[in-house]
Amino acid sequence: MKAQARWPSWLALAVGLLIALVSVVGCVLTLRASNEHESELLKNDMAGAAALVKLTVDNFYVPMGSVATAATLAAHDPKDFAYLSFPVNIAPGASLALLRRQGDGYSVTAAVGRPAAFHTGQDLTGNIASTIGRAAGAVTPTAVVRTGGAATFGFALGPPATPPGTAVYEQLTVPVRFIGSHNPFLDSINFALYGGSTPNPSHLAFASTTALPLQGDVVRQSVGVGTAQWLAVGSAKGPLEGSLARAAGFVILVLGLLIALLVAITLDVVSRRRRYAEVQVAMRTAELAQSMSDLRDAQTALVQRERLAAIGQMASVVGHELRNPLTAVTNALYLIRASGDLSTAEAPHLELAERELGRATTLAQDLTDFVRPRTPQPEPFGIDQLLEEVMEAAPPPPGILVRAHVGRLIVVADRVQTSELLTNLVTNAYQAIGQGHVWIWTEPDGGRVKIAVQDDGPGIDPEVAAHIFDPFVTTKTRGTGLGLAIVRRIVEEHGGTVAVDEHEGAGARIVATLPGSAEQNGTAHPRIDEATAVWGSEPEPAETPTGVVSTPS
Amino acid sequence: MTGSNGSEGIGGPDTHPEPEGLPAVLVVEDEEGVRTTIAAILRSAGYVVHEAPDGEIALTMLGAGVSDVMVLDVRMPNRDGISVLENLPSPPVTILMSAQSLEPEAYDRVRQKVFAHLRKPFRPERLIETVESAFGGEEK
Repeated sequence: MKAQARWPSWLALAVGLLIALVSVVGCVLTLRASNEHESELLKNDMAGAAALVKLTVDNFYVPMGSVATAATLAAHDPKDFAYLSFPVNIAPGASLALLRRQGDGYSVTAAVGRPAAFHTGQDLTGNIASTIGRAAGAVTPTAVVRTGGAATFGFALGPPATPPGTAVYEQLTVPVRFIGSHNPFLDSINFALYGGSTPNPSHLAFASTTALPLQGDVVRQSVGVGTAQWLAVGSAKGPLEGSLARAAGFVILVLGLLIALLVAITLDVVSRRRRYAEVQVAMRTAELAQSMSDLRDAQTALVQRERLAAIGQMASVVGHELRNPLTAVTNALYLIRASGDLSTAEAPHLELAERELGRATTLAQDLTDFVRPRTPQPEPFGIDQLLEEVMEAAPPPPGILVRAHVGRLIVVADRVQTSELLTNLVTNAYQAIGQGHVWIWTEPDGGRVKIAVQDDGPGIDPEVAAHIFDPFVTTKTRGTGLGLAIVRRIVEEHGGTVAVDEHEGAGARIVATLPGSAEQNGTAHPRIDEATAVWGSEPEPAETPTGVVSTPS
Repeated sequence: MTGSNGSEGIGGPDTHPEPEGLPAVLVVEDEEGVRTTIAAILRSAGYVVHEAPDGEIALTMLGAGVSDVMVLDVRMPNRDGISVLENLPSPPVTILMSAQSLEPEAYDRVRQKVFAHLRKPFRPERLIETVESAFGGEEK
């Protein structure tokens, strides 16, 4: 899980990226919209400014001879205009008078030109109304006129050769300059109006700032003035939109990224939890399956043990119950033999009875031995010594030669049970071969001692080999089938093993291991080629089976 | 069989008291076949043999007369062999017979009173040897 924690799920990553992308796009769009809005606001402001200027310009646009179309600024709040200044072209010798309506006539507010055809305060009512003409040429003084109060303004232009007092009116292109207006538009924008289609400084009609040409983000707009198209140029002094509106784009971006992150994390956590849950489920299922399997195995083992216990129980009971009848019969046969007078016909029957009784006794013994409940009481002893005792108690029948290659190894086990074990292994070999050779050897194996018993009899069928340690399994015509079962029980009680050993050559080899003394036995054990002890007698040559092995490999 | 007064069949107190001095064995065993054959074997070996079919009767008989050696089975009705020994402060030389393994605790209580222990089925020769030793007084 730790390794997985470093990598968010692909889904979470994809969704997060998608949301982030959307928020980026949203931000961009919002910013663009904001910019467009700004432009629009600017244009609106410019339009407003232009309209106002246009109003003024229109009112100053004087077609020839039309004093009557002089600016009617009275309709407008004179506070809108702090002052006017406009350069005018006046032909040499011409004069310009700024007229002011006064009642039905006009008086001169200001006059420029040489010679001065007009003078301030001159009343031109009669003259202006009657004369219209064109002047040639131009001179360029700049007339700065301060105005204030309600006024109607008009122009009078006198040509050089005009007799004094005669007014000639010229169509003038009059760039008019506003400065210092407290028009709200002009508070937030810089604005310039050019009397032409290009921002030519000499055609500047008016500007709200002296810092010309306008720098930065500049918007141009065509403004119709009379029949001409003038050019308005504007730029925003600062953001026209509210700061919040400007920030909206970035807010969208930041919010979007946050949401993207949140969603990604949530999805990742959810999917990881789900994966974790799935893993847990899989683990638990596997554990459950394992538990079920273990349970089944345990049940099988239990059933097996119970069965074995039941068999053992019955065997034990039968074995014990047989002892008294066997005693009685043994005694009776003894008495018959002791009586002495047996006919030649009777004698063999008696012998047979005694022999068979011996077999029955052995069976009874095996039955009770099989399930003797004693827990092993281990003690160290020499296996060679024990073997001598065992061989004395269970000597080989005639025709069987037993060779031992047994060194002085210390076994740590229940002595009585080990004696039983050896006895059973050896008698099992006797019964298996009838006539022949038996070898017994030992070797250390770490903390254990291996005891091997091999014969040169017919050997053990591989199919049978798996079961020969089970009780009541026997391929022999004689024997109880319990001998090896007893061996296995004893071996298992000591935590050892017993098995049929694969080897070259004929005959059977059974190897048992019992706990031993590692310190005393050591690990190196030289092969004992010479027999350490021999019992019994060689079989008759005719009976020697084929495949005799002189020394076990 | 020998001509001594063998008490045949189910044991009861002997009606003919034995002359003093002849070695007498008391066989205490509930299984009739085992008891009678043991008795016959021991008589054939020259001993005077009394028989008791259970521990209770054995105690009565021992109270009434003297047996020098007792061949005692363990598992019996009424009173088992261990109980018999427990109730005899000075029992005769006792050879204990058993078919089963003995419980260690029970056996420990009477261990000192047991001369020898025979596991059934035993070779009759071994029985005779053991009884001879019992009379000889050797500890086996």
